Amino acid sequence: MSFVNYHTKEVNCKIVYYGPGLGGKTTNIQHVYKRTAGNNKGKMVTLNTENERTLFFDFLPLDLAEIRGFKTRMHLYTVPGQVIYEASRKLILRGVDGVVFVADSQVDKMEANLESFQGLKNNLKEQGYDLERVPIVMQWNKRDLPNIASVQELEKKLNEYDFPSFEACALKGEGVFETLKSISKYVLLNIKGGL
Amino acid sequence: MNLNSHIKDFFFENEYDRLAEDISIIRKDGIPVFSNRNQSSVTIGALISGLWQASESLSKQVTEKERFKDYRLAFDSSDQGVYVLPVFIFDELYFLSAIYNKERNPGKLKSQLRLIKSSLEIYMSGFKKNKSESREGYLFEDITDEEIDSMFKVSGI
Repeated sequence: MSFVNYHTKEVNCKIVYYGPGLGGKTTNIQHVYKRTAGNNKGKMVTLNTENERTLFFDFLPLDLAEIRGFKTRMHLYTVPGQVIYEASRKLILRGVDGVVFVADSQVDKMEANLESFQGLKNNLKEQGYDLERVPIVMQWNKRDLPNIASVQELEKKLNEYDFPSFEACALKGEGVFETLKSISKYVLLNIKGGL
Repeated sequence: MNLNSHIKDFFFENEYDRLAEDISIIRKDGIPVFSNRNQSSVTIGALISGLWQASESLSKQVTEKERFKDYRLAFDSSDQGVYVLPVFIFDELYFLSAIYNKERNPGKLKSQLRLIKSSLEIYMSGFKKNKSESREGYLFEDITDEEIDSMFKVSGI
């Protein structure tokens, strides 16, 4: 649920990176954090387990330039990918404005991708969202690894709704900003409340 | 005037902003609408909201309650900690959070915060929901890729 302050002309939006465990969600926002100029980013919060897996969420507030006179701030969250943290994923999806689904391109991760995407669909539906109206962007991550599924196969199995999709290697930063720019655009276009 | 301005006036006019190192009013999705210090308020908002929602889910393990309007959330030692109260403004859930340090009488502070919560709810009930919050249509009818690129350029991207 985006927050528009017409008085101060500010827009706040919540974007959640969702996907299977070890798929690269945290790596995406870590790259955004590293590449962003100091004044435009807040503290990156990570709530991790001892072995650096996401326990609750990662959070990065990102200040962008004005658009049509509105100052824009994106609140980037990741969910924990491990199957046992379903309750946390549900909490983090509350009030979401847009989702980046980070899929692991490796062939043996297809099952985990499908299970996670089904979980996303269920959780959004449970919270009253219409899947076809929520801005969602798909990211095919880890394209640099051997033994990966083809983009056509990923599209066929995971992208039945024909969401915009991007190939990425988040570890090298490839495709990270293309994905973020795309979801930002769809989120902004989806904000209710005309001038 | 809008919601943020009303809340700001309420705190500054009554000097409630001086009660603790950090006093914030936070929307249920973590977006701060008031903070007595600008630094880190966005981060605090995200953490407080997550903390409350996780606590609600925990409590639902033993109760059928849907709303926890009379609950309080505390994480503290004898002189420092975090205290969170739910506040209802225009029937929407917000959080009043205080983060305090070297506090001689945390019990008194918590009591004051509970009074502030009630006062704020009464104070805000005197205003009508801003028309801008019930606007129709979309904020942006169209956005070009070039505009999105420009938005990100300021961040050095």
